[in-house]
Amino acid sequence: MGSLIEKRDGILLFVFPLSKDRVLAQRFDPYPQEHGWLDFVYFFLFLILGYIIYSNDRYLSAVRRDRWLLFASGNAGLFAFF
Amino acid sequence: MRVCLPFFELPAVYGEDVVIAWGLTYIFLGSFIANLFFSLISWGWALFVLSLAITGLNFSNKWLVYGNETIMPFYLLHQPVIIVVSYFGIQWDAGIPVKLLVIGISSLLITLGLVELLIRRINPVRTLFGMKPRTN
Repeated sequence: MGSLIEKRDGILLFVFPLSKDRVLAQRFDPYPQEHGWLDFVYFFLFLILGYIIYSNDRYLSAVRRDRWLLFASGNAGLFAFF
Repeated sequence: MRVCLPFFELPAVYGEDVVIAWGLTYIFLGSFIANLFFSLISWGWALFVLSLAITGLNFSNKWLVYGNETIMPFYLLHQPVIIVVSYFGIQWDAGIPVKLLVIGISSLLITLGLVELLIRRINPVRTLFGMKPRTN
């Protein structure tokens, strides 16, 4: 994972396991509400990923390097989602 | 209406009787795509804000050092102080904005005073409230 992160756009790869986990977790909470259990479990993953990101300088430099890509991805996802 | 898939038996959204707060579909492929966008939003924005903080908030000053040191006792004390002050504050014959302002400011000052006078200067009490002992 560390070597993938060093490539440009690599930081976005985390989106795939996050999506997969959210889909799998929906099996147990099929009608999710905002701030419900699904959100709790999903954003708990962010807590763990935050620890992982801060544990390695390669991740942090990837976050710094791909800042505007992350911004664009967030907005693209927003438009696509709605 | 329910859809049975090989591995997932999930309710579908293609029925007027099913209202989904997030607007996600539970057919597997659709669910994965919708969640992909959802994750893209949350991951992209979270890390974008983090990247701004890494570069923009990487500084220190005496206020931050003081706040960093006293955050724990302040956190522990602020709620009881607010409750005690509010107990008397709400009985006061004044408008809600005035009461809110008075309770907020006086609670802040009382909490800071307690932290500064009773906790921060006494080593055993500092330890009790999670602060490192003073060396000088």
